[in-house]
Amino acid sequence: MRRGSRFVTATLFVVVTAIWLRASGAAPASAATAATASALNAGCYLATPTVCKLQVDPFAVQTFFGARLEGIRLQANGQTIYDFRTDVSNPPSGSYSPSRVKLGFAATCGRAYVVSLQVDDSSQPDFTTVAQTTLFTCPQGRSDVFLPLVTR
Amino acid sequence: MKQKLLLVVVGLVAVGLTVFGATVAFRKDVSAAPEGFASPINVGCYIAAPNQCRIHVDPFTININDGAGARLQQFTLYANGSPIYDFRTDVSNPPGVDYSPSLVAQDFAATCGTTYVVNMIAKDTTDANPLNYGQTTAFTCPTTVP
Repeated sequence: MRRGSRFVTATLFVVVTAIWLRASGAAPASAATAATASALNAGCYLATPTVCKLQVDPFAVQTFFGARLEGIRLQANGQTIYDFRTDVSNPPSGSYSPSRVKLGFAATCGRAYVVSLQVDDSSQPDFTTVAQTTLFTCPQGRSDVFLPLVTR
Repeated sequence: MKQKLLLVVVGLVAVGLTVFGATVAFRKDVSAAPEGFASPINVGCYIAAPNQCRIHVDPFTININDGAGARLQQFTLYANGSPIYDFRTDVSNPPGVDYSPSLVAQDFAATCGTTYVVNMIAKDTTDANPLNYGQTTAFTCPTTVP
């Protein structure tokens, strides 16, 4: 009987600890199934003599064990430049490669950037950074100076 | 012996209920299923220039019920309930198989800082009215150039 009550106590302790860990946000078990991504490669270029754009090469996001992709965020120096969400009823799972945007991402000439990729899937409570570039610098754009001409 | 067995069963049931409860408590809710069939509608918003944001829609396919002889007549993309792309098919020879429209060349205009939900409504010849074929969760356009 004593052994039995010890067993029940131990079981209840495990159950309570599991609930507490899950509620506190610590999820070591789910870290193993977190989404991953292919290499993130990006750069900055002069789109016009005074306008710079960020170019992000195609990448793929991978979810595991049936987890569904819910969102992707591209950030430049921690600031979101692309907020992407999936279909509410039929989100993709497995490997997904978002198509490239048509106009490129705005950037400031002369500034240095690190671009990072964050992913949110159904196995995680929030976005997680899964890839990041090293630092690169936008070319120095040209500031056009216009001198008014006065003619008589 | 019987008591030990009972305690083991109780312990297993308790663990099972915990796992179930955690799954239910922390799942992310999913809205109702679409009325028509298409590949997922996946969309985002990005900043293309100062005060210029664009909505980008990933390629999608509209499933046509070719077994019933259905033909695609139209589809419309909406952002927050307002149409951003109204598309019609050939009056004499509409598509009768699954159809994947080409991507627009410059993406769709959007307001920086605004949160959007994009959905796609389509109609084939077997539908009495256009049906909702897919919808995104909410996403927000960036506000400033980094």
